[in-house]
Amino acid sequence: MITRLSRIFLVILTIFVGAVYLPQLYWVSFEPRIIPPMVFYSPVIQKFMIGHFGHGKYYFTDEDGHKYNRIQADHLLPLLNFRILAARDEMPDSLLGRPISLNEVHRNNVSIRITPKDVNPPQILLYPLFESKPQRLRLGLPDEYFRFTDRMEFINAKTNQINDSLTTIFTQTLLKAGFHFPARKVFGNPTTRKPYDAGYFIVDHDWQLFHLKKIHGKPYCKNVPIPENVKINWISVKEKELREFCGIAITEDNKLYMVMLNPERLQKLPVSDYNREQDHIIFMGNLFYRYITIRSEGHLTTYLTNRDYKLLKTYKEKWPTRYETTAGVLSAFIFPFELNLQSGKTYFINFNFSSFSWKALYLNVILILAAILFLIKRKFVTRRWFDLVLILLTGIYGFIGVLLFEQIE
Amino acid sequence: MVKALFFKEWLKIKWAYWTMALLTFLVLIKIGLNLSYYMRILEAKTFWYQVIIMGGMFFQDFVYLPALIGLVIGFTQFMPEISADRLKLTLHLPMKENAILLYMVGYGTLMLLILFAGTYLLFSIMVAYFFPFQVVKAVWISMAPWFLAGFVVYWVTSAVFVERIWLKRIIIIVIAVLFTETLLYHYAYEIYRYSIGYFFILALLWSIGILYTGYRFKKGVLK
Amino acid sequence: MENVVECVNLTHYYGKRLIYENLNFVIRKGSIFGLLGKNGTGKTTTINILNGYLQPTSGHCYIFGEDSQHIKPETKARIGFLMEGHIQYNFMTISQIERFYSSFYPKWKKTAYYDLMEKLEVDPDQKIATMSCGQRSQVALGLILAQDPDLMVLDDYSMGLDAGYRRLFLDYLGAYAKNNDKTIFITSHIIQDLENLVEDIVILDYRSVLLSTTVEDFKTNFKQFVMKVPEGKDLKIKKDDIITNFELLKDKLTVYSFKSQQEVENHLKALKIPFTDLHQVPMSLEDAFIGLTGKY
Repeated sequence: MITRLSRIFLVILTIFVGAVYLPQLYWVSFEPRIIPPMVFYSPVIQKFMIGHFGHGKYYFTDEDGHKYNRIQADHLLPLLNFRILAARDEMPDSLLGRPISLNEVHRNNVSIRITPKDVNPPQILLYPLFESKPQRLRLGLPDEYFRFTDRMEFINAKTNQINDSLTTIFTQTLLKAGFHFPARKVFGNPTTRKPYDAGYFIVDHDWQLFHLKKIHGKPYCKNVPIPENVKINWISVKEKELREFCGIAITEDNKLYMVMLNPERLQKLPVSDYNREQDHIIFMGNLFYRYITIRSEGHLTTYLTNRDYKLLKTYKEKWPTRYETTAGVLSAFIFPFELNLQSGKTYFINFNFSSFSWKALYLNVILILAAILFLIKRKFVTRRWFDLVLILLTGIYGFIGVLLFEQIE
Repeated sequence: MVKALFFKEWLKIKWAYWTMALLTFLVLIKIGLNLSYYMRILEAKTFWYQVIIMGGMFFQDFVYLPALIGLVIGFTQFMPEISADRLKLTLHLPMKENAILLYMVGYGTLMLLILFAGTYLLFSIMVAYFFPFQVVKAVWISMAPWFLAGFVVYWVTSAVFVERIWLKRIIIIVIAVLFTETLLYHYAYEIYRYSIGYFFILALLWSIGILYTGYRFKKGVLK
Repeated sequence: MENVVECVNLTHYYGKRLIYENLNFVIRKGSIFGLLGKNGTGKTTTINILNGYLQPTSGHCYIFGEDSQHIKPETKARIGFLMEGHIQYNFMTISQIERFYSSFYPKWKKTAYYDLMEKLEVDPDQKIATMSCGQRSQVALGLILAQDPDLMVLDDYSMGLDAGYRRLFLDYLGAYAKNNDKTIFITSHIIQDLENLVEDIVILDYRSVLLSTTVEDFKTNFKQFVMKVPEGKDLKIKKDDIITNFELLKDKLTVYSFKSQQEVENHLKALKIPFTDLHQVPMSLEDAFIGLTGKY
């Protein structure tokens, strides 16, 4: 009995290995390159501009399908291409009836990209709290890293000991601001390569949001007002020259908010159909507009808003995914399912099963017949039904497993 | 009887086991020296930044070490059994054949467990000396699949040695290598946090692989 | 009388290569049974099947009434097994291996083992791997004797042993068999030693069983006749029912047969073989074995 089990285990392991590596091998051999289009908005013609790059092509179309070459597009997207236009001395002085300067254009151009990988990546829950107003102007690493327990603890890197005075001061300040320990989540952008330091945003036990900074060695803490019933899942903190906002917040129910500064508050983005585990966010802002593209596999939606985040227009675009290419259509007939350990959507290794492909049943049935012929030849007739059901369900993987590890009588 | 069987297994792996323990110890010392070096040269806060924020894995020596140990222990335990078909003597002992095989593999697994647990303990103490508990925990989770790979390699080695047909051996080795590869990713901390349980269950499936090859050994299967 | 081993219609192929077909034999309790044959005729194959290390293509073997494919641990304890080449755990020392085996066998006779070891002039802490082939054979024998099994299965005990060790081995074996009601199954390709030991024999040839009988019957019934024939003449002689085997060396023709001298003479005359001076020559067991199986 247990011997028979050991054989079944080996077959299962073969199925696992097959489901991981065979599709991988297939895609490495046949996957076509898919470059999703990029969507911009032209303040000149007041139309979405769709950039088609790659495969040796480089051109734009507008939302009505007119085609523009690169030079023409430069002029239609002057805020995006201001450097190029300025270098050619072709930058307009005014746009939409408003005089513009290069400095202004430059400062107001913002882009934030959030990939599914950026949201909830693996991390060690220790954070350096930068001095937000450094005396020598440059941001520098602090000597202490903080963590949240039932208080906010600062640990000195050199001694690996808790710094009691910092711990007490910051814990007191948080408590005074109404913070309930322990913290659920801590969000920051711990790098010295940024124009300024916005500190950390912390979600407390009651889902309240707090903004915490260190200014001149002293804590700065603000309870950020958030709409009712909003539970923040993730904040991508990105300090930009334009100090209007410092990041994008994603809620548990996949709503998006800009994290506004002066004063801190959340500004809802008029975006629907976002899924933080699947979709890319491409946020672009310029002197006149904000536009947010939510890109999934095979389709995207771009939401155009004014600078007050009032929705003006949306645009949808589709392109074939890899499963709609010839190789992809064929793959559905070969593999009953695929098992991806690394999805490209997260750093974590997970058992991502693709949905069961019914089209593969044709092949599975053929493989069952082949297996019957083979097994009869080898005179292993007992308990064959188990193998056959296995092949029906797991197709080519099970077939290989059953063939490699013959039955035990 | 089981005690005597364990005694036999110990005689075979004795030298290899101490050698592997020593090797592990040397690796620990090396990592320890590296840690204290970087704490001095880079400054503690910068080194912490490298480790905590940039995800620098200062213990990458441990990626393949357990697999190597599993291979060596499996080799030294089963090579003498298979040279000159000595396994026939072992299977002739008055116990059930499957029980004999399982006790043999169980003994090796136990010894690996002791060595690996010791390594985990010593390394945890070392990391805890330089870093807060959060890093220690990240190290635990990050290293778990690599040590799991050590057991898998050991179990596969035992099964492969008992197999007599080279083609079958190669088949098992190929599948095992591909499987083990899925346990050895190390591009970031804690990447197996959500899947280590499933991997653990899958890895366990290898543990009785020796019964399949042992069955074939007993039947004298030729292909 | 009870049979310790029964093999019924044993047939085995390695892939497409036939080893033998329909091998039948029984080993009576208390007897010494010899399975003889040249190298490669399937002696070890039979032992493997008997010990449950090989599934025969067809047929069955029973040991103490149990199918050899599924021998119970208690039954295994009653079988002493000497592997071809006296293989033992050579990573153990003399005393370690004794300690190891003693815990497996309830009837363990420690003195039987150490009595034999004393003769070897080896240190109890010496590893078996460092011992000579002859010494190793004595260790293996000592272990089997200490096990005190009801059935001994000895696979080619003589391999690699010089005459002295071979004799020593057989002396112990003979004494063991005589003193107790023990059964011994022995295979060998060296026949001369077995002459005064074995009682029943099966002789294997390539792909077939040549003979299954007792040594007594074999030696009485199998005869060798030597005669003179004209040299260089093309003789129409071949193996048949009467001529089991023959050998022609210049003018000397040797014929082996189970028939009487009269029958052989008549048969040769019928074949028109011009022989003279035909007479029977007595044979040892080994002569008979070679006479039966041929020299190559």
